[in-house]
Amino acid sequence: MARAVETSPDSTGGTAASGVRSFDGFTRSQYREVLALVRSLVKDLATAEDLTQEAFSRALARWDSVRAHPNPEAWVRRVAINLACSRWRRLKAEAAALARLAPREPELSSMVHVDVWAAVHHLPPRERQVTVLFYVDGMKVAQIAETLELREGTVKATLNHARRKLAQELGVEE
Amino acid sequence: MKLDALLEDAVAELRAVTGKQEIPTFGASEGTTRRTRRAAFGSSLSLGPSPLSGAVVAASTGAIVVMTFLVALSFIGLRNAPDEITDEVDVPEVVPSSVAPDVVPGPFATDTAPSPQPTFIEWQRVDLEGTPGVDLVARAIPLIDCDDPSFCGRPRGFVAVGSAPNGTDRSGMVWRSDDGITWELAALLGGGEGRVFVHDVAYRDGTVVAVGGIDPTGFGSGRKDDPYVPMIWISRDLGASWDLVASGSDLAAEHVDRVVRSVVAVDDGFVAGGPGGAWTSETGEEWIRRPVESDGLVDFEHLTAWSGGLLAWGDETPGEGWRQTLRVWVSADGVQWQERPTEGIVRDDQNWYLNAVVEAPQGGVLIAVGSGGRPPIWTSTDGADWDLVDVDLPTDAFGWVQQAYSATGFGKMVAVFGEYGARQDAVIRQGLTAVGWRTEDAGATWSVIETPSEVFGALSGASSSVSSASAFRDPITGEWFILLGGSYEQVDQDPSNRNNMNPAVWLGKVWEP
Repeated sequence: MARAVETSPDSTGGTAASGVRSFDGFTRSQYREVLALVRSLVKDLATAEDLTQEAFSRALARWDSVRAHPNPEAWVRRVAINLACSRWRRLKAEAAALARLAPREPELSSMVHVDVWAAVHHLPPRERQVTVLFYVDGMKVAQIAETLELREGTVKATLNHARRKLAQELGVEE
Repeated sequence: MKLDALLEDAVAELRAVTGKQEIPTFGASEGTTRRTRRAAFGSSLSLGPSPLSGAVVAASTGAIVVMTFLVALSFIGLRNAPDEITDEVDVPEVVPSSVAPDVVPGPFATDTAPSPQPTFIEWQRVDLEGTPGVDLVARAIPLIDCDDPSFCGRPRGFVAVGSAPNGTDRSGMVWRSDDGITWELAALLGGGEGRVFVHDVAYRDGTVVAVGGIDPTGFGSGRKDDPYVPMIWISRDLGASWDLVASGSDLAAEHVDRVVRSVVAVDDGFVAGGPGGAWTSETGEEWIRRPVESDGLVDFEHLTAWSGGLLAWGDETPGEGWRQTLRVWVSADGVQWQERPTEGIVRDDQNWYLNAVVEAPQGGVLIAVGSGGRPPIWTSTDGADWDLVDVDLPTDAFGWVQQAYSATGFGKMVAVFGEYGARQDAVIRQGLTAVGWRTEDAGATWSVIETPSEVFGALSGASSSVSSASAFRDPITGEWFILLGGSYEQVDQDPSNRNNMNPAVWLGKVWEP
């Protein structure tokens, strides 16, 4: 079911191995893909939008270098993933302080598959990252390895661990 | 059902949601993003003396307290290179482009913004203990025993004042810190009855003075059926314990409906201000009222001490045509005050108001910032005659600048802090976010002080507001720090409840080339 990362060029920019020329084109082709990726890592769409925009902001801030990068798509995903996980850790740390202020309802509850994403969020960070890159972003193992700077064998093992945990928590066959 | 099929359904649902989201514009023409000069500055910013150099200095002077201070700074990472600590997020290395770069204006770039300067301020936010509801830090200050922060010793401590909900009332709050990093709630002022605000705080020669009182609206103007009680408290132990030294008729005699709004330290004591005029005190314990004769409303809402004397101003009520009214007074000693015309500040076609005044570190020039559309900036050499500076504070296309609230001068720089809000049609729609600017040429040109999202909430939709700014210097290394007081909304609080603002201070380390 994994899809290939879509990097098709468009009229104003796009990519050509990778050959990105226009930040606008890069954003148009990649923004929603990255947003979906980040959305699967955080609890609500608003947060995902913030983080995705932050990732693209960072790309713009150093666009001359990013567009010359061998894989700008992977670059912006890496930044977004790091932001999401970093933020998640920070929010965990702040949860104790927030708990005394007001209870919160998880915003994922508005989705049918809330249990799936809850299970994904219960995974350790590395397993969560590999899982969403594989299932949400449709990356191949080699691409995940490049993006996260891991060996392919590590990616495969991590994905297997994550799948086993997800199947167990969701009560389905692996 | 098998795992892959379930995940496929979940991903399809997720993509149905995210696929409908508007793609924001990041380009300069529509939506130049804020962020980030950090990487560009990173390689030249390993300037902080090593822990070893700090140890050598401390050992050579035998100043254990200095070591404590340095250790405290090291603890929060302020002595590390910015890229090593503030980028908690790993940003991959990118290969420098051999292609001629496009012209892509950086964050906040405008025609009026000068070129990026290799000065970087690294921020840390500290959330203070409060209570649910709107908590405010009105002012946070370092406790420094000298008049000129360029040549004085390390701060003896730090104090922040404000207010927090207490049932249907409010409590005056005092927080204190030894190092600016670890803060504790030191006292609830006001006796637990009524809506108590602590509006301002000042320090001089071992005495901390806090002013405020029972203030039903928090704005200090009179109301017969809900009287005000002015109060002044002092602390002799760096903010740990507090005594009420004057209240009610002690301060106002026939004018008991007045609250104390502002206080500054001067060479020979303290000067406090409020509706009706000023009070002076040599020690902080006994206060003398200095009424100001005027045909109109006298409200010393703000006070600033500078090398040329004292400046007071107030009255932010809308005047004719909803234009803000403003009245300004000057004094050489805090006792005798003269009202000055405000034609140089107030303009008929602008709803401007003056929020903060600071003396440029070079001396002799006051810089004032205010609110009303884009924040105006004025300069003056005497506090009486003012010139409007023809410059717009740079901002980004996510929003518009709302206010410039606070300012501090240090080193070669004047730093101003305010807030900006989102455009209605922008992606980021909620919250007002703290933002800062600096000038090194007495207000002629300005550039943005980065207020990073992870510390100030800029891109997260969280609100943050800076109400005060002060600067202090590490006497050993010569490094400057900025202390901000204000409030901060946690990003994952209920977004429908915009009344959850938590007290906070921000500590910024200035990395200079």
